Amino acid sequence: MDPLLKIATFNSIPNQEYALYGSVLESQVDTLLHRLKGLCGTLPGNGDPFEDHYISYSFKHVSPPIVVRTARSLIQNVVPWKFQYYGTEQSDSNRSVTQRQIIDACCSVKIPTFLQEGLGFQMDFEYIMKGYSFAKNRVKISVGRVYTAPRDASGSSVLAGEPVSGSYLVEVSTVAFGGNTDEPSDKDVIQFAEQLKSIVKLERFDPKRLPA
Amino acid sequence: MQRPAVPAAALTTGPGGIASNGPGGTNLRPPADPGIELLLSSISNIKANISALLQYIETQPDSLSWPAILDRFNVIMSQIVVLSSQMKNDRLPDLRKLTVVPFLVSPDPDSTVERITEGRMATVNHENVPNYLRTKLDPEVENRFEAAYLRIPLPNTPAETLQKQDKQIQNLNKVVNTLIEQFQTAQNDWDSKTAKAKLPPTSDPNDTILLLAAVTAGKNFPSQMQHGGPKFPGFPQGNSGPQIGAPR
Repeated sequence: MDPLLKIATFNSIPNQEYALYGSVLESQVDTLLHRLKGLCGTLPGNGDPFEDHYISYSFKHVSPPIVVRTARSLIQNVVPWKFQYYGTEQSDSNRSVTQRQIIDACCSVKIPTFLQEGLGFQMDFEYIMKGYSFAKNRVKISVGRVYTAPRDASGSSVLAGEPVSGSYLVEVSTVAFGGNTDEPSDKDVIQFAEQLKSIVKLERFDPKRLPA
Repeated sequence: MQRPAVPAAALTTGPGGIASNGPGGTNLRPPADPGIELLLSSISNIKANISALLQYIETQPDSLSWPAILDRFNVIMSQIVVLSSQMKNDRLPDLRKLTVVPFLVSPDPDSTVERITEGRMATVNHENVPNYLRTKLDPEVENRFEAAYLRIPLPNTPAETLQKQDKQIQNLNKVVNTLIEQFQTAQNDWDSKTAKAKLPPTSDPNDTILLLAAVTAGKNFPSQMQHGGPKFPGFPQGNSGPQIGAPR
């Protein structure tokens, strides 16, 4: 079954995402991509470029505000928009992997309007991520650069603007469907991160470490 | 060191029963047991794999690759492990109960034996029979084992001897510990040396934080952050009320 469909059918029970984050300098990104190609094999879709436009929305009438985001591909017009909700960090501080609830659903192009006009969400910021994605078993790896998303005069089209940093953001994640926590999903992620250790140091995402 | 060969020869297998009375007296009774068949098949598998590996090494020396050889070694090793677990299997007939007695030992070449052993053994003679049918250790080795066992102190060993032994054990421990220390210092030296010749940095932890702040909180974007209501291609426009919190 297509993972996205699977997510849709399991909506009643929140899925758990296990993820690790890191970054790699531009000069080393080729090494990393080469390593990933070796590790993930040559299955179709591995190492494919992606260019996604993310828009983050928040609903500030409750405390804490609800934050959701939409994502769409700028390369492929046929794939639907995605609606994504990430819960707050669930893992204890002694766990080595970020564990969060995740809702990831396919939507029509109307989702931004619906969020803003129908539900009263406010758009916070948007960005574009350009890079390459890989998959190894159930672990998904994305290596990408974050760009601003300036709009042209009419505001209708979005192009990648300036990069936020010279480094590429690396994300290694897997999703345990329907709250199925028996499977050691975090081990998959840790194991994969070990194999990339010499190039990129992958850590759990700690909101407290973000600059205020 | 050879023990005297048995001059008369016959091969018997199993509890009673003469294995063979062929012309040379050297035919083994073909093993009919399925367990032995299993062993035979796994042995021939291993043999096939080893010869395939040798052939690979000899015929394609240019395309040799270490991972490929390791792969093949691994296959062979796992087959050997399987074989030894099969040998230990309870369902196998106890091969230790199988008796093999040489009936006839002759210095003349025997073509049957040569065929069975694939050319490794041409004759059943006085030289190799003791080696192949040996069930005990070489007498010399056996004697040394016995001598070693005898040296183990009996419960009523005098205290003086025990003290001596303790001392020796302590001395040995000391030597071993010093050796371990030396190895560890050598290893540390090596580690620090390799660490000094450090590789160029591949990642910047500050960048990680910066990027994560950008994608999770919208911080650190270089310039224009828009808060205007976005319009999207293919977006239904103008059919809805005022946007909340995001004025067009």
